[in-house]
Amino acid sequence: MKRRTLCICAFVLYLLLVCTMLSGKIQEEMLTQVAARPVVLTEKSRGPVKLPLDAVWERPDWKNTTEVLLFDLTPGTGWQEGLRFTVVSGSLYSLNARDNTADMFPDKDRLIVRHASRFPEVGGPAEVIEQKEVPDQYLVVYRDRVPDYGDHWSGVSLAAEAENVRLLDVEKAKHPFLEDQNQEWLYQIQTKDWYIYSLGTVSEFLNELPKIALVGAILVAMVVLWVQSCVLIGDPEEYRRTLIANGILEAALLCALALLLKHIDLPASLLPPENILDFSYYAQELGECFGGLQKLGQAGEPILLEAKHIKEMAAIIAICGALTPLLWVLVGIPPPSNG
Amino acid sequence: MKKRRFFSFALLALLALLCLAPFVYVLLRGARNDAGAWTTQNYYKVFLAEPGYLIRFWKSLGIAGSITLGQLIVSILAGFGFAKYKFPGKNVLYFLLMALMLMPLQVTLVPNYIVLQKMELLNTYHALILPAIFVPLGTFLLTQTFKAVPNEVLDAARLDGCSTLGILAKVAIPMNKGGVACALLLSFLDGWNMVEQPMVFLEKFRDYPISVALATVSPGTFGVQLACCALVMIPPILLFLVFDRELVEGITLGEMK
Repeated sequence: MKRRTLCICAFVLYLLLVCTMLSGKIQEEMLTQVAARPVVLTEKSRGPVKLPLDAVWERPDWKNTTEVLLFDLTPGTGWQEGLRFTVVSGSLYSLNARDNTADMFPDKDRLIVRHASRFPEVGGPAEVIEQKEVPDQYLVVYRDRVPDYGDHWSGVSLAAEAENVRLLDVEKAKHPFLEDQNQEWLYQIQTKDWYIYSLGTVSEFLNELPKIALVGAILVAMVVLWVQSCVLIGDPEEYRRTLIANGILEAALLCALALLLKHIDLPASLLPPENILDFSYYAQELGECFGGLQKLGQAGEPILLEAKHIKEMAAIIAICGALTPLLWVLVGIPPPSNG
Repeated sequence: MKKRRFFSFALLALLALLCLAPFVYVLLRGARNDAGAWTTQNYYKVFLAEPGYLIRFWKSLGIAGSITLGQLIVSILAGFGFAKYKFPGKNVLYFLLMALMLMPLQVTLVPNYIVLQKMELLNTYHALILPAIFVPLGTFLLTQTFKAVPNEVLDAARLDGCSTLGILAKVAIPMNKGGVACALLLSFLDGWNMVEQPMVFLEKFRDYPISVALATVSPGTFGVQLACCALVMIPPILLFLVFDRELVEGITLGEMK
């Protein structure tokens, strides 16, 4: 009984260790990615610092009017370590409709947030990213019918169009992808009337699915092995070899999990705003994206095929991973001895 | 007779309920948001979303574990010595030990700070562990329990050629599992719940164990605070589950005597 209790206690501590590893990775992935514009105090000696209007964020407030906000990043303390979003006081800037700028009179050096992978949350953690330019395809999904393809944006060409979706070839797309940055660039306005998906980013996300399936399989294997050990430890003499093998496997699985988590890199633009385990969000986002690609017919086929293959691979990994420890459990228990 | 038994049972059930109610409240309220709706968001935040809580948990476990190990070694050796051996100044030393035990922690905080400063151990975990290893409570407790070991048993072991450490390891400690378990639990809880020493001896917030850091969780996140409390409850509960038999034996044995 005491051995079993000790085994259960060890299992609980092992789970907490796994949670520690997972939480480190989740925090890293859920950091809001930010394209920032540094504002140096000495700049104001030449007049107000001109910030592009896309640095100003709009949010409906409790009075149902639109609140205008300017965010910057400051180092946090205590539980709030690392760069955190703070709101710049309204007295330090004014909106200049004539120039389409925000005129700022900085009181100190600041790091102004221009674009972010999700709406900045005051006090929330952030990570400043350096963007590079890569060729990409953007899928624009409109709430209503697709508008006329009017002026050609520089470096952008129309690849395909149907109903309420449009596929654009972009020569120099910013990577990592930030939706509000591209809404501003393509349509000069951020809105909920259309959503832009970077197919390069979607492809990156899909390529991570087999690794995530493997993480899931490892977690299932860990739990199954521990449960088996807790059951068999009641008779350690008879099941000594199985218990030792389980111990070695658990240690190996922990190392495997650590290595695997290091190699997972999910694109921030496709992650849910609050909870990385919000599967309904993924279903909605990817459902909308793939639904749009299906409407494009042949133009959308390559990525749809890629998604199908990857989903099948991930499913195979998940099923094999779930079945393997169960097989081990059946094999590891020696047959009852006669006499 | 039946009425008396029912009354005793009812009273014990009520007492058990009163003791368990805060724990149950912590677990259930941690699973609700500010609006009162059920949510896993608080537990997700503490156990999965932010590693700060778990990292402090492991730091606290390391500190408490080191204190427990050190205190047990010192207390067992010192307790056995006080219980079974005569040496000059034993009574004076024992009296000083009891006097120190009765002193509040705050009395020794400043002298400890000065000594640790001179030893250049401030802002390190040694500053928390070293003074705690020599806390007299464990020694006092084990002295009393080792006194209960019959001298005849020890003499018999000595006649069989057992060394002093062998007598301690093979006879005295196995006969006093209850006392040792009690000392272990008390020293662990002491190390796990320490608040003043980290606040005085450590400078940076990031070095604080979870007992201190918990007090600084933003009051606006009540559910997260309670989920964090649930995390902090885990090691003492696990320890009690492992040693519950020895503790009960120790209490029962004391009662019989």
